[in-house]
Amino acid sequence: MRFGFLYQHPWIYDLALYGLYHGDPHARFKQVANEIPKGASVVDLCAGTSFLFRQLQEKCPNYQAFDINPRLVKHLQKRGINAHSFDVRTDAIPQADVVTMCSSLYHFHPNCKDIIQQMQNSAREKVIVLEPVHNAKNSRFAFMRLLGAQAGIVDGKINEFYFSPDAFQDLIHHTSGFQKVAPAGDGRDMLAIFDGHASTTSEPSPQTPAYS
Amino acid sequence: MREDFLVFGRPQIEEDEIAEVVATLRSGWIGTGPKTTAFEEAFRTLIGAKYAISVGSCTAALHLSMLVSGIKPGDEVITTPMTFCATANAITHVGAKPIFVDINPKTLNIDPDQIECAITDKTRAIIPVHFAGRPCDMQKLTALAKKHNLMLIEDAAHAIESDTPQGKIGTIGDLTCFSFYVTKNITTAEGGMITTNNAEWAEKLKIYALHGLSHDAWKRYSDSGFKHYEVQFPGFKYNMTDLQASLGLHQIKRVDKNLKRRESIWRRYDEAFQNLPIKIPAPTSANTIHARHLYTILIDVKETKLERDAFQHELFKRNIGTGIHYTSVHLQPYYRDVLNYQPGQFPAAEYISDRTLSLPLGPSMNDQDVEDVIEAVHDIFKTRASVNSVQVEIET
Repeated sequence: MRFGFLYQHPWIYDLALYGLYHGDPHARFKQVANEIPKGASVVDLCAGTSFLFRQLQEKCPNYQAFDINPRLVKHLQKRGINAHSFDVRTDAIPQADVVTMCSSLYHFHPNCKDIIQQMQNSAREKVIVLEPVHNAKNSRFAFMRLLGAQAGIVDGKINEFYFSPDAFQDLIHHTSGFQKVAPAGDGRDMLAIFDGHASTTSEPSPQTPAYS
Repeated sequence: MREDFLVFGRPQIEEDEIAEVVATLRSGWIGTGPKTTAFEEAFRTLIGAKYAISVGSCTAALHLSMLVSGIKPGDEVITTPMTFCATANAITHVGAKPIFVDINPKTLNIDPDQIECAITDKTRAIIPVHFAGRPCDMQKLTALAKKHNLMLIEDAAHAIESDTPQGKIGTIGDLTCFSFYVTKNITTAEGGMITTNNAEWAEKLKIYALHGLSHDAWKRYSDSGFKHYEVQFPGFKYNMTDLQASLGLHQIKRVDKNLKRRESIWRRYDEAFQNLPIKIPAPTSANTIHARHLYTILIDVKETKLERDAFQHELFKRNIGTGIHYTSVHLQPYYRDVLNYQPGQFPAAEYISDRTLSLPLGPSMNDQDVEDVIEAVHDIFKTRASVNSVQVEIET
């Protein structure tokens, strides 16, 4: 499995995020955390080094991180985070009150709508998607373009698709259960919220999914 | 295709109000007078508020509401960008800054869940707009206003008939502003009304609306004898006239009947457009009454193969007048250039702003008018389909 150099080590990943978001990658995750009710169970897909967990650790102890990159998963597990190797394209998303995905939906183009619907089927309350719409790959600075391009390499696949504001709006407004959209961070991202469709009477998901 | 042009928002003017206007003209008293007072009383009764104060427009109503609320330069007032510019303009008229909060993409009303993030030490009021006649979530808005000690000034230009579990629109907020513009559910050509339950504000509003002259100065030339007035405030020329009130006095009697007609057209549109690739208005929330002022569809170029403006032009070519409610206010040059609002700040409002189109809806429309609108909309899709199939044949 081949990843861009951003994903080779958790430190590089963290540094890249600081670079991409001008030293403050936390604001956008705070915004996501603000949308999650206290005490909600959370499934965080494509969690990376889980910046979201840092905003949720006191508010939502029932948090699970999922990522396709075993290095990052191992790093999270070492930090005591309930983290699992996971491929969104093939694995069943565990149920939770809130299912999130931050800065990763573009990897799944052209199946983004299906991915959101799968997330909705597993979310009892809501789905939160945070996505860059002014991608670093289009930056006027060469270094930022390099970071943006490297961020797009996951599982050996070089991503050529990035959301524009219009493309993201087009997607979310044509996805059933769309609730709201807001600019996030410094305006380079958009945050979209959708209804969860999972039954609220079902049993809570196990802390460790059977397939991990 | 219909032969004559269907004017968007054509008012329903009947013989009763024509006779009333003529009688007013012949009476020799055409300015503010007893008919204005009678219209205020009729409107107060309709809404169920303690006080109703007539003015020359809803814009004037909003401006005066800002003033009596004590909103001053440097203050911030939260409102929606999906509104007519008058809402934001009125805030700037008193030197305050409009702080926009994005809309809920389904209701098209301000999203109450996003308001709290916008509240600062400078915030003094929230102005929700009951877009198209769909009442805002007044439970959340009143709770927010109470929690942060903010004034709640409602822009009810579209919402004369709107009702909620918290009460009828016009009885909930501190001050509520209504419009009687030509296209509105009640029209006095131009005109507005403010309702409130606060006696002190009601008194001030009357004074501010007529040059700041002492109460009932309009009576100074009446048959009760000349009375001296005092200027208590450098007020405005915002009074309604008896000529305008003559229209309102009869329009108001048809509110219930007209709402039923609007609802019937609304249902017909819903039914006729449900299988077309356009978005129709979201269903009304339980326990609320929608005033059915605007029927807005969303035209998405991906679905229709036509930009919204082109779609509007196609309707125009078929003799159907339409409206656009609204271009998001934060994108207007003044708000963009002077107050530094930028595209991308309110994505839901911008999305709607680019796609919304209001179809004719009103009691002056007969059944044939309604069918003409439906036929024209369907015809655009049929024509596009045939154009597209011809293109495909040529390409293949």
